[in-house]
Amino acid sequence: MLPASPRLLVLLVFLAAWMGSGRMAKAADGERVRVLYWEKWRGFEKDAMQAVVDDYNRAQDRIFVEYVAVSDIRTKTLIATAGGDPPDIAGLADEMIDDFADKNALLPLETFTSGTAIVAERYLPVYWDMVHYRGHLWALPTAPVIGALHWNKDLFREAGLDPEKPPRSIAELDEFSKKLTRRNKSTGQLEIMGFLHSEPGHWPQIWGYFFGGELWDGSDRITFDSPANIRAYEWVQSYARDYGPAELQTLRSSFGPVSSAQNAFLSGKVAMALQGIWMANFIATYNPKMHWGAAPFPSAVEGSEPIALANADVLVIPRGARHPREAFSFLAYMAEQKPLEKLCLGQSKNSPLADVSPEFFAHHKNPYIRMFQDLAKSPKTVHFPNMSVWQQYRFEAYNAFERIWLLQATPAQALRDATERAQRAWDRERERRNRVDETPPSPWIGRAPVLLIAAIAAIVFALARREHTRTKALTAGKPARANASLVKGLLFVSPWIGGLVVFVLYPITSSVVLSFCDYSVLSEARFVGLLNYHDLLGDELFWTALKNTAYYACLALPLGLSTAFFWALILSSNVRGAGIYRTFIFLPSLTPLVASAMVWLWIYNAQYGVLNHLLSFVTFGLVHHVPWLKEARYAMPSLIFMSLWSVGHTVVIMMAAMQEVPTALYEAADIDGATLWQKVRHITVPMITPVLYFNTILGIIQVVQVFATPFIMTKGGPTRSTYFYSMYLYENAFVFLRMGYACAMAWILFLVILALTGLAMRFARSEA
Amino acid sequence: MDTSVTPFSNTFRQHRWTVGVVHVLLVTGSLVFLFPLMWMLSTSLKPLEETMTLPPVWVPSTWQWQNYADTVRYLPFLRYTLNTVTIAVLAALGTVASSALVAFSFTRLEWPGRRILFALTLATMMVPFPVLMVPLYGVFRNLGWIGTLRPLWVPSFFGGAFNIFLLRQFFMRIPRHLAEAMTLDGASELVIFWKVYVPLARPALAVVAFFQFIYSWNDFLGPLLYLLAQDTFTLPLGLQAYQGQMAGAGAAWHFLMAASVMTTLPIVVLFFFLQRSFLQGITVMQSVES
Repeated sequence: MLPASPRLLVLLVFLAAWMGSGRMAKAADGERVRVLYWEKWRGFEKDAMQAVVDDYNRAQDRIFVEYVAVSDIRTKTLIATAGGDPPDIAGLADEMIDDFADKNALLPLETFTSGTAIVAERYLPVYWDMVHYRGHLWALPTAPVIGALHWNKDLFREAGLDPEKPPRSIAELDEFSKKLTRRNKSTGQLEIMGFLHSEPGHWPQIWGYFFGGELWDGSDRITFDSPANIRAYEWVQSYARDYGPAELQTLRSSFGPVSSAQNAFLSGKVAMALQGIWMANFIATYNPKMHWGAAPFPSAVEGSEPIALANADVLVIPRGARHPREAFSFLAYMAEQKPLEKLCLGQSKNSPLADVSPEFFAHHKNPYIRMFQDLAKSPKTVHFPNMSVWQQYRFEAYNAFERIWLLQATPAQALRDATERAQRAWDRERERRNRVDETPPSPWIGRAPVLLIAAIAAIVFALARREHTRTKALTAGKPARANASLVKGLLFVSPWIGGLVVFVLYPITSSVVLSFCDYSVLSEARFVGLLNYHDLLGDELFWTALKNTAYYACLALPLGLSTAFFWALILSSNVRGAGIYRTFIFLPSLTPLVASAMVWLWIYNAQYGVLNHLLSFVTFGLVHHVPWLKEARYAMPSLIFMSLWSVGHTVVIMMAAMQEVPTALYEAADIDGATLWQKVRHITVPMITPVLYFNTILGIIQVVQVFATPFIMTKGGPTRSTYFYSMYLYENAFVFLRMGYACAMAWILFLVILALTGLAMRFARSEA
Repeated sequence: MDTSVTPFSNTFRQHRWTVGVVHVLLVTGSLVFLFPLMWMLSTSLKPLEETMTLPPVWVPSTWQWQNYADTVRYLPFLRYTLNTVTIAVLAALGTVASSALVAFSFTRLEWPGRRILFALTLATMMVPFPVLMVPLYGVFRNLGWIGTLRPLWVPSFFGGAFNIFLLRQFFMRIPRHLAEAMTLDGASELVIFWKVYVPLARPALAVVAFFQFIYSWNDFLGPLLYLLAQDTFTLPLGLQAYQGQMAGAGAAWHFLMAASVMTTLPIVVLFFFLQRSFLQGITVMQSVES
């Protein structure tokens, strides 16, 4: 008999101990309530907010607000909220609100604001409007920004233009730009661009507004491909046509960091730019001698009121915050004129409030503050659409801009594609929401993974029993020994069984279940049948990502293996110093992926990258300034080439295998007068075939999961040419919180891996 | 020259110049492989102006060590290093301790069900991480571990399938009679494990530890998923966040390269210390695998 109870007991005791150790009591922080406030700002912007936070902390003794600077605030806040431990306050940007609200990640603020003085009239309409969505108030604006045309008066003067007269129409802008653009006299290369749409590149989707276009109709249609928008992007493309996309990209890669004197505008490489109000700060810090001006960006529509895009940093209270009331008390403080103006003064931004004090203008460091403040009041000033799929829309629009900019598509085509995709995503999102709203959450979704584990346990139990009976038959006569070892054996493996259940089996079974559910962590999972799989098949991004991954795998894997084989073979010739060479070739494979991504970004840089310099040197200047990572057709080969750099690990394994080949075989071949090639082909390769197959299978599993390198180096671009399967999976899970969808993707990936390794094994067996 | 016979021996003997060809190949290859690392180092010591010139400056005019000080001042690099070391050391310790115990049990102890459980272990190796990613996040969420370092090291105390497999293969080569003699003397399994298996398997254990250490040190996706506040970041995540902040038109390459050097250097130094046993270990592992 197999006693089941000790096994279960061990498991349970173990699990309990393990679960218990994970919980940790949070210590209370004195008598004051500690409010955790996550914010994206650093540097002087942080200092400005910190000063206001300090004022608040001093003004009362009940609440203590702690400012913590967090990078990538959107994803971090979302993950923390999904993870059940959000900050009490998060400083998001206005365009994130709708998506967060739809994901159930925010507390609506009306419950707190009702009866207070925080009402519409207090704010400028555009800022008040942007924090509302689906009839609720989700955030309060803090430091807003607004964009305007900035021009370099010195360059205007040099080009013979009146430095005090900015362009008043798009036609004038083009005319000025032509006069301001300068090329190097000897090489003919662009040195100064009069105007550059992609600088700074924060808002590639808004050019239509200056031609009378809109991003949406205000209710449920995306209008990115409207005639006005198409006209705007034809204008954008005319620049790429006139100067050539490669040349413009090269000029761009010569720009230094935004916050440095090498910034495109500050270093005089771009004479006019659509920039935010923050530009004055950079000018004051890095190039205070520069003469510059700021004015509303010109419009193609005659007689139009000034047009601008308004954005704002906002404060929200994430759902699940520990101290929502205390958090709101800080939000309310930030809605008062004095602290808010102190913040906006400190950050040199305009004010979101309707009422602006004379001191604000008097003390403001931006000489054009009144123009900016008026711009914020203009009825034509817009904010990004209130829609939950804005992130995707923005992504599509960005993509369309790149295609237009790189002359890969006509504006009409690119805008139509982007509109179709974004609209489809939005429609699907709404359909899905309807379906989910109709489906009640089922208790079975939570239980199913556990039941599946129980089923696996039952199978293991049955098989173990059979195995046991068979061993007993074999070792008849001394059954006591086998039984005595059971408890011990289990004790020894108990950590592993605990880990197996909690960290492997449970995740696997719930992943299966979730792949049939709509699940965002923040709302309960609802069973939707095959909807995820069905949607995936119609999801163009899914196919793009799959195609890219296949492209990469088909080249990187065989090239990597043959490179590794080549070096292993050369190294195994045992010439003097082979050990040192081996170390050199091995070292790159130890370099952390993130660090190697950094150095290759630098090597591939189009303007100052050392690769382009070497190529131009070798080809006598024929090949130069190739935008390796910025052009779709080069980006993927560049990543593949880079992957060959870190084959060192495989080299060492193959060398070890080659050293085990019996030398007698080579000696015999030498007597027969075999050539080097014959020996490699007919002795080395067949002898190390098992290692080659092992590495192929490992390689398949790794190569289809490539994530970090493209995630850091290209973000999937340009135009999604390096958007990998695992990146889309990650984004679905943790950026869009479409967890069920991500699980379905993961299972498809698993099936692909299974099929490929099965194929490889089959091939290996037929060879052997 | 080594006396052992390789496919090249005969060619080398007949045509002396081929040795030269191989050397040239190896020198060129080494230069190509080393170049990015050297370039990283060189850039990290330049003033910003020298990173942006054509033709590039190969060796900085002045060795600007200040870049490192500036990077450390701008970023909590020491904090990142401490976090990374914590995770890597704990994960290496945990994985060695637990995987060795489990592998021992699977190898030496006779208990019903061990074969089927071992088969299950191997089967789980086939499952790619993305399959586990979402529910695992839920598990850590329920444990209240999101935002802490724990998801990155605690699981390694429960053994890793691949390491268990490797160590089991290694343990199987240890002669049985050693243990049996001790059993007759009345030693318990734990004593046998500690006195016989652990000392004999030391090279294999070292390799498992070193691999785990490197894996944890270099891991990017894990920290990206579970770490939230900057003071919990690891070096790779901190480096990526730093680069992300400067994304846009350009980057301060000298600082980025200094940060990259500081992320890479500890691993390289460690490797030079352990090089011999490490490369031997890989050889052992390779023979074990096949």
